[in-house]
Amino acid sequence: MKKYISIIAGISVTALALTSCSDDFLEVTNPTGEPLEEYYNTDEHLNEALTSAYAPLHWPDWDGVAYNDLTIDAEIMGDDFWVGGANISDNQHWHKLFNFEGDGNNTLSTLWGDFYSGIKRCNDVIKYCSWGGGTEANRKSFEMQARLLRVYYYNILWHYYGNVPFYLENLNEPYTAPQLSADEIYNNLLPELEEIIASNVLPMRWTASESGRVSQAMAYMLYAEMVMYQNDQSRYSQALGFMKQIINDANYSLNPDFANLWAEAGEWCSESIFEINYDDDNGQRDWASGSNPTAPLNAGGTVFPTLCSPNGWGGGEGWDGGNDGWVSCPCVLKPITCMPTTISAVMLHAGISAVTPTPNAIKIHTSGTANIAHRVSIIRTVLHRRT
Amino acid sequence: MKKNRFLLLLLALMVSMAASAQVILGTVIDESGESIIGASVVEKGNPKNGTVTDIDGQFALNVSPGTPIVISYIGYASQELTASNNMTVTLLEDKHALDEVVVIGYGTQKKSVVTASIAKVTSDDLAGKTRLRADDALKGLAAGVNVTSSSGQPGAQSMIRVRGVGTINNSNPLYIIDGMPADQYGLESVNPYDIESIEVLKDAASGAIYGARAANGVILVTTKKGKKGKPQINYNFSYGWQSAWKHREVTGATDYAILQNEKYVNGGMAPLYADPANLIDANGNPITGFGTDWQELLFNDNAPIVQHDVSVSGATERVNYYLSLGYFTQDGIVGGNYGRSNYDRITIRSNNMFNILDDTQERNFLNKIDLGANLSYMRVHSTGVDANSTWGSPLGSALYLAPTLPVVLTGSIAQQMIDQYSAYDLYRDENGNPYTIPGFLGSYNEQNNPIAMMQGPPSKGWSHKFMPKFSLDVQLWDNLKYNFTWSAEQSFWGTDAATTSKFYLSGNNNSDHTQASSEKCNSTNWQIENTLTYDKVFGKHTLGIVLGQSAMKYKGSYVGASHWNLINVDKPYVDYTTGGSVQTTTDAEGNIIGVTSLVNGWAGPYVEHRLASLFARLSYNYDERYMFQATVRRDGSSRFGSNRKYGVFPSFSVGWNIMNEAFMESTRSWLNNMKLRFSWGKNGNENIGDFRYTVLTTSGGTSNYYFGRQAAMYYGSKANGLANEDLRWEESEQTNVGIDFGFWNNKLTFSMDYYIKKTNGMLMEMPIPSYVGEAKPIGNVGDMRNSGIEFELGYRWNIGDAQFAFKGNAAYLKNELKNLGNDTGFLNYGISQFSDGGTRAENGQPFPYFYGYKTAGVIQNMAEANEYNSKYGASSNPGDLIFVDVNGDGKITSDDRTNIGKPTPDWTFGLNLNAEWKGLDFSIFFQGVSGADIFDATWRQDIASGNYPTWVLDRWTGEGTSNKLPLLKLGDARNWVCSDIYVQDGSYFRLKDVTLGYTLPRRLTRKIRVERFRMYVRGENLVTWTKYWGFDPEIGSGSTSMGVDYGVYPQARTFTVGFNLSF
Repeated sequence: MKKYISIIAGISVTALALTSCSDDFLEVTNPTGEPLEEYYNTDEHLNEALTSAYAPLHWPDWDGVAYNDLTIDAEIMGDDFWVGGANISDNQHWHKLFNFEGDGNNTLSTLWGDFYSGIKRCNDVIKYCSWGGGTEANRKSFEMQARLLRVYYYNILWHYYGNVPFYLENLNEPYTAPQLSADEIYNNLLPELEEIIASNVLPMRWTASESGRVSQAMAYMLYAEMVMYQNDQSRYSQALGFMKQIINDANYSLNPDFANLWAEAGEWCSESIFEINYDDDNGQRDWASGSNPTAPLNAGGTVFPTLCSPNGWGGGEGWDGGNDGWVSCPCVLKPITCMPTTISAVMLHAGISAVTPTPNAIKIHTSGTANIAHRVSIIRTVLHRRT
Repeated sequence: MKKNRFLLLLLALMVSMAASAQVILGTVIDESGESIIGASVVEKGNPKNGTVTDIDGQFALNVSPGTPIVISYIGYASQELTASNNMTVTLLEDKHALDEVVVIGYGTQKKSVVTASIAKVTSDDLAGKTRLRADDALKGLAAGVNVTSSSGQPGAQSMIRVRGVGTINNSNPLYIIDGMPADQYGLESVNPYDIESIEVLKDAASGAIYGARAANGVILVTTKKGKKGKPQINYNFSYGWQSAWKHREVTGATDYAILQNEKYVNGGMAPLYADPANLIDANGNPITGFGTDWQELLFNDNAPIVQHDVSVSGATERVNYYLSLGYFTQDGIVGGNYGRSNYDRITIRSNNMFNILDDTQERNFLNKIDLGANLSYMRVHSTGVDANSTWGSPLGSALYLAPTLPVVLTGSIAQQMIDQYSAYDLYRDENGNPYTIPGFLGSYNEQNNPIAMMQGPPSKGWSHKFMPKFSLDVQLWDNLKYNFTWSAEQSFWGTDAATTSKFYLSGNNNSDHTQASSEKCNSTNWQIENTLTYDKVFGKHTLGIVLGQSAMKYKGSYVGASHWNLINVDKPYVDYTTGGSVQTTTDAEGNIIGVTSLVNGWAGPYVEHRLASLFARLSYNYDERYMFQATVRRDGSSRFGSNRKYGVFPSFSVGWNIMNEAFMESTRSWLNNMKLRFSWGKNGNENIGDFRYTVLTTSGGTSNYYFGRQAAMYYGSKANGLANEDLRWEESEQTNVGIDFGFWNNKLTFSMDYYIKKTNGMLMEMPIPSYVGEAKPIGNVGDMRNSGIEFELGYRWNIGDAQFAFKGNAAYLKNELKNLGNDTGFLNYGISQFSDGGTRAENGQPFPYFYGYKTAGVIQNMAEANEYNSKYGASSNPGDLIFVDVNGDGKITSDDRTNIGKPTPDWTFGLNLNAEWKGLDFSIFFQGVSGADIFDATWRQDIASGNYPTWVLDRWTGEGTSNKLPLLKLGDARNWVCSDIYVQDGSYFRLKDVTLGYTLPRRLTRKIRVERFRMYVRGENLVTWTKYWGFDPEIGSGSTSMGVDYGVYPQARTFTVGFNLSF
């Protein structure tokens, strides 16, 4: 009898032991993800988070839902652009905007999500940095890059939408943020930008292996542009001072060969302050597709050349494949003449904001790494609208 | 041997000891005079002096004549007699003792005191109705349990919905097999012959004992045990021939050519065929009659379905065993003859119970211990074809391929095709002629030559599953029992596939390389449960208490690999390939523009799932008149958010057996049962995905960026979303009222249940602004409502020697998605070929429903066209459809799309009639649904060369020709949009099963030691009455694909012969 009792007792104890402490028992680990607090505490991992904050820079190309290339977005309602595509439902939002028929369903709606994603990721980087992981120097740099990048993202939203919701810490239940007026946005961003500049954490120019990151010079440019866009005369002299600093900086000088600006060799030349990096070694120049905004990473560089090359032109002349472009210029005689703006390494540099079409844009483009700074077209838009 | 000698010695000793008493001989028989085997014969007051009757119903007992003895047998009224030699005892069937017992989860309950809504299906009901999955047999047998076959593919799992679609998410019920949840395969692992009963816990009160997993109903399966008496050996065999019960009507060669000409001419093109009555195929042969009948070529008529089941069972005082071996194999009616749609299963079960201590006569504490050890095993090999698709499935393609296309090409045209696809090795028939590639002779988009698709090796799936169970029952004190159960499910499964040639079927289905791939997965699921049970009758009070604890853990992992370029196509193994791991593509200038990996591997663990639970149940009844039951379960789940780790699920039910009241005494002669039931409870749906409450890191393309002059890829990572730490289970709250009647000693029974089931907190993307900068988190935001009424009717009667039994049930269901919970209030699931409608979820509509345009006929002439155009600002022509301006804004826009049908039936019903006369038995079973719609998406108008269903012949060809279908026109984007012209009535009534059997008289079979021998013939799906013109009106692999016909693989019409043999 005793034997049975001890068996039962044994089993019961085992059973209870196995099932007690159910809080611990119910904790399971995810095989394909790490808790944030345990992960973002090294330089390497913080840098990963920062990398992901840069990623939305590519998304206007194709964000999984729509094409919203900023160069076209900026021009679409101007008089120096003509819509294309197979029919009116081919990039309908652009057709509608072009005809001043934009509405709630036909607007630059996904751009909104693209840049708020950037802002959200920047906020995360700043939060992760505040946890104090990694080395101090790197952490400071990461944080400052995220802050500057965040200003850049807000700046685009501010340009395109005016009054926008504004938050510097990510949202929790009920997930709403106040909408600020355009002036309020400016008044929030400028002190932030001044603080970033004053901190002097970021280098004037990144080394060749790190180019693509936001720099002190880029902050100066952003400052100048925002001040000009706002017509904030009180800050003109400060902006001018920043521009002069760039001009006088040993890292920057005008590129001796202007045509070289548009060649792969001219990427990140001495005149270049900020570029959005692409790589064309990862696929055929193409329309991006798929439901994720990863396309620019495997479409052979930016989608912009495809978007702005003529519809019905099946390739050739150095162009990789036979992918139809989207633009249907009435002026099309030769693809070359209808390029609305440059499509290769467009640089943002002090005192020069003019952009000239290049005669062999397509050729250069297809054979080289394509970089676009959307900044230029934005500045042009600004000037265009303000005058 | 030694042991046997010892036993004999002992026996001799006992006999000599009892010599003073006398050996009484006797026989026990039933009312029909058949001997009863295994009846217990015991001296009254001396339970140790007893025996059981042998195979002839005879017994020998050592008592002196005149001693009172008790004779008892399950299902018969016990009798107390005085012993006399050569006595013959006739036991009478005890109707009361047969009072059904219902399994209710962690216990059983007499049906007479059940207060919840539980459907019970016994092994008799199941008998022969299904061979593969027992849950299929619930179709038409249990009111409120809607079983929809997803397809006729062997092994295909039916979609089962208990009391409606409970949620837009996972609506599958919980399966419990002998106490162990079977999430992964449902009931695939259980041989239907091993099943003693299936109980479906339909209302929340009955399900509440399974708490957080019971919201979609619980299906409890109890397997067989041995019965006391001599070992029973059963062997069942059946062999069936399956064929498609219907071919879809498509146009023959001449009609096809006429329609094609018409379509092209209307589209402003030249006609394709000069003389549709005299056509010549691509090989230059004249086409006679119908042309190529692709369906006839593809369907595998008389496909075999074979089954063997052997079981051995029995029980003694100390041991109870049930052992079985089952083998089942089925060839599909599409591709089964090519090894493409086949299923093959072995099941083994060993249920054992050992009594290791029984001192119940000596003391009332720690007096009985039983050990149980069950082990079951399943092995499956299967292959399958795409079963419901218009994007190149075999059957779908058979509907599209023109009757003018030859199956193979010969001569010069064959050579042309071979040249065109010279990079490939085309599939050829036994004469070496290449199978026609449809795209070579016409415009067929993704469609393939279905016969060519049958060539080459299929992808082979396999699985092994072991299910051990160990249990310990201890009688602790009085009626307090303790049970410990450990059970587990150990599964191994995988797929082996190979591409053994560079085949070409269509632009979407070809391969420029050979390849082998293999995947192996495994999982372990264990559960430990401890329960205390106390059952006691105090006078008129009956009390039952269950307290329990349960813990469960699931984990598993997978590993797989693939490699290109086989060395020997007969040895298609990942490791036996030509090597090389990447292949690069370059542009004209030599730049690398693409890298393809030739070897791929994937492996990792599955996310663990754990549950820790406590539960309690109190049952009480007073004199079987007033019944009360309350259940509560507290479930902790690894899937719940940190703030909501534990859910508590309460329920209660009450019942009143009016017939047991004294004042009803006078009616008992005709009304013997009348019971009112009411229940309320809350259940949860814990099947909400893993880690959705928390935020973890993620990496991938959307996090990467290029830095550096050379544009080096940096791999980024980020938080994978926004957290919703309050995320919890979906909750279902259900109220049930029911009434049961029994007339004339339960000859006629009738039950009715009404329920309202509300699902709250359905998981959906939260309605929050998109400026949060991240995918919107999932929240408990949606609501669904199901309500319905269920009827069950049974009637048993005799005419002379013939016995009849009728069972019928019907259920009505109304479903409404109250609130989807996201910001738009709708969600489109779509139908693949339409961009403007299809299956959809929307607030205030049944879930799901078909969304599209409503039509009101066809514009007949110019006058009507002008009127329509001026009214709606349209530019339609005669022959175009008239779309209804549903929102009345004077325009036909996408806002006019509306509810054009729903796939869920209003009514489901089943009728079953059994008759027995002498050795003959006959059963007939009908089953059907009404109020369901089918969206017939089998015809894609965008396939320019595609064949037509014959209904297209009713198209508009001029004024007065058709007021339903528009004209045919190439490239017509106006008319063939998602509209109600595709929606058909999906109601059906089906003669599901007819069986005629004959059991040889026992006096004959006994001579060859056979207890029972029954032969039968059986027909399944013999007749289906439906207006629907497709292969099958039953289509449903999931809630959101239900009722959408893409050319579904139909259920077969099967003729079966078989026999049951018992020793």
